[in-house]
Amino acid sequence: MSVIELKGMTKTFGKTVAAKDVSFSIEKGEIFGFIGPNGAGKSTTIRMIIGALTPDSGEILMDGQPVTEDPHYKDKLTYVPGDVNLWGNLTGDEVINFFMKTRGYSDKERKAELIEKFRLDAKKKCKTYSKGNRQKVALISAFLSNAELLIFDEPTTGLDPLMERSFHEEVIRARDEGKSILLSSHILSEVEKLADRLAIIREGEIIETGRLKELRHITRIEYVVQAKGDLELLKDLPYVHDFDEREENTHLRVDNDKAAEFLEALHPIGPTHLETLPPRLEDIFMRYYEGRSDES
Amino acid sequence: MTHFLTIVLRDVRFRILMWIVGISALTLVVPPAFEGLYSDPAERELLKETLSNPAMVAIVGPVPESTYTIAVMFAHEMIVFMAVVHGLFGIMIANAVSRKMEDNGLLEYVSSTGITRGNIFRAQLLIGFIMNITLGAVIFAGLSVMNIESFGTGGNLLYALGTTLFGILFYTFTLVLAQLLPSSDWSFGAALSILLLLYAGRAVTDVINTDYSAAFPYHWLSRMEPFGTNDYMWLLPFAVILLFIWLAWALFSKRDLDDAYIALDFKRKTRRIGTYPRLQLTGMKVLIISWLAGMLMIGLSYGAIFGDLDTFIGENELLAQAMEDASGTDPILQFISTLMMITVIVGVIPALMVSARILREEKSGRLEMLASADISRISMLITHGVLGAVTGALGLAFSVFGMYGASIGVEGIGLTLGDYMLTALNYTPAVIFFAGLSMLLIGISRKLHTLIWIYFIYAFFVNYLGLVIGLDDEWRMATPFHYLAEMPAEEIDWTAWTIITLIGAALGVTGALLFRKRDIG
Repeated sequence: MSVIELKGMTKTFGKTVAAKDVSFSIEKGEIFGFIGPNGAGKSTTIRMIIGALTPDSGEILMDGQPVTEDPHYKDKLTYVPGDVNLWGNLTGDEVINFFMKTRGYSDKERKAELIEKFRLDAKKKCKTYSKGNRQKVALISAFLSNAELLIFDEPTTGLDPLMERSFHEEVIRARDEGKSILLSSHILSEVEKLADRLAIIREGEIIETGRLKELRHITRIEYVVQAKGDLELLKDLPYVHDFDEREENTHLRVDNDKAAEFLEALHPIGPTHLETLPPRLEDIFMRYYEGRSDES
Repeated sequence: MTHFLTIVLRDVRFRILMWIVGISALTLVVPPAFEGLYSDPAERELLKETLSNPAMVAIVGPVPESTYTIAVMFAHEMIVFMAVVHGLFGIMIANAVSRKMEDNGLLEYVSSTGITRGNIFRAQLLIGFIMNITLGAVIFAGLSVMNIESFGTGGNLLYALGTTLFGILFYTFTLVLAQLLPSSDWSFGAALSILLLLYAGRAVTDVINTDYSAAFPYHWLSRMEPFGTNDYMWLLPFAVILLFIWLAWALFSKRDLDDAYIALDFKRKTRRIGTYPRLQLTGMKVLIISWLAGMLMIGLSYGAIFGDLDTFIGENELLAQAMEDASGTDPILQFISTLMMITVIVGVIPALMVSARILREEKSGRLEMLASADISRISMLITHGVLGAVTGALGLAFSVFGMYGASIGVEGIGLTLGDYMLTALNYTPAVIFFAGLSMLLIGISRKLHTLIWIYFIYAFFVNYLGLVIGLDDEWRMATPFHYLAEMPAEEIDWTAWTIITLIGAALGVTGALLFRKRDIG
């Protein structure tokens, strides 16, 4: 059963449609990537989940039960905002303790471990913290919780690469413990590395959902080719894109569903070297972007 | 430099505009009203007599010697009261363009683009001068255009100049505090406290001996006597503004950004903060304690003149007899009730500030995080409302305690400490009502909450005019003060007490219920 399920969530602010018919579900023990450019509706969707915004229409189910019927559904989730603001006169330690107390967990050892792992100077006042340090406070509080669903809204924007890795390790550990993670990001490599499944949102609408593998039908595969004949012949084929002749190799991208046609066309030219690069999220993204610029 | 000035000005111009419109409207509605109410010179002389009792002197300032024309009456009754508002205007904007910008990291960012400290400071200063001079010009033009009898050009100019300089005085003073203190909360709080404490201090010296009042800027305005003697000499003490400018610049140019000369951080061991009320109390400790101290100071200042009230009554037996015949109560109790009214209205401010603190949580996005941790929004808003009402009620208790303490040696007052405390209790529903209304507005929308301050200023204004010129009580019907007994002169009215308390609580609960549903952030 899904830990959380969103059904047709819509939210408008005046004339702006911030989220339109957003639906997806997250299973137990999976990392769900939620990607899209800035302003696409990621945060709006998340803020509807945590109850900060009331949706115009749509429904959220947690463990199969509508959240409107369960006033304490938030016990089951924990949330780290993208831009963490803390109480300037409290120390990091005091803030973490506050969240531990209000949420009723008390694993001091684990807390010490996480503070160590994220290298947080918890005795300092929050107003002296950088963005990254404030994020660490919120992340540590989240990882300490025993919530079933961890929601991260662009969590690594202020972290250095080393801390980013610690974050990734903790996310995977949480998943292995059977928790579910909603990871919103515009950093594709991060989602690509961690997410089991993902949803792509653009202008308030989910445009794709699925496993990365499944999504690859809409991607293009990059081929690196050397041939005896003239590769220029391929350049104008409708399914070949980004044709780029370099010193040794020629790089080109081919619509994934046209691989057979491409190989047939390549064969007469006498290829001597053929290499494929796996599709990346960027490619999915870019393809949608091209679509968008074509429309406009 | 001009670019920086333009962009900062653009950022605050709406606020400045609202203040200018508000203050000039508040000032300019009064002369025509006075003309309608007090066109008879004999009546004005009578009013002047009643304003010469120590209670009114403490509120309004010393009575001018010149003939009590409408213009003199206007300046006398308005200038000290309006000075508080002009000062507040200066403090708010000065803090917004100095320490607040610095707290937000804007000054640092701006400095990095090659705008020098000098440029920044000049821009901050210019905004203060531009806005206060504009306000002065509007008031001067307004008074001149109305062309009411006895409002001479000289007096109009002096009134406008005096209030303008008073505004600039607190503007530049706040700039000094912005360098000394470590955050915008501190600089705002300190500036506001000094604005109010100077008002209270002046009250004491105005009653006891006006020679000492010369130390208080409010008194400089009183002594100018616009429209009366028109004493321009009393503009001179405002030269202290130059000192503040120099000091602010000297302090600003020599320090690091985000640094302060007075450090207020104490190394403490980790506090145990496990609940939302506790969290908020930790954050508002300084705010609450300083307001309670302030209320105590106001009580002490007013209590300090009770002796003079007694003497005044002894020396004016005819008047005292007339007051007693008219109302059937001891004149001294009537005077104390008058002072109490001002104290109570000031006492509403901390209640509103504490209750509005939740908006800061919302603006910073922390409320969202707290709500996601399953701390209910209803309980958060109620926490603020209750803390606000309790702070307000405690403030009233502190102020009456101050009055009691400072007047312990005065024999003519037959009030026990219990009577004083009952007086504080009598006015507590006003505080509850305002806190409840504040919660209701917060429950509807974050932006709507500004309305509470407009309502508050309305309540203050009509009560003030009610005390000073006996403005029709109808105006006060829209405020809780109309209904509550005027203690200690009157007996407590438990029915009104209960009804207002219940209305306040109902408003608060409605607000909390609405707050649960509305979008936050």
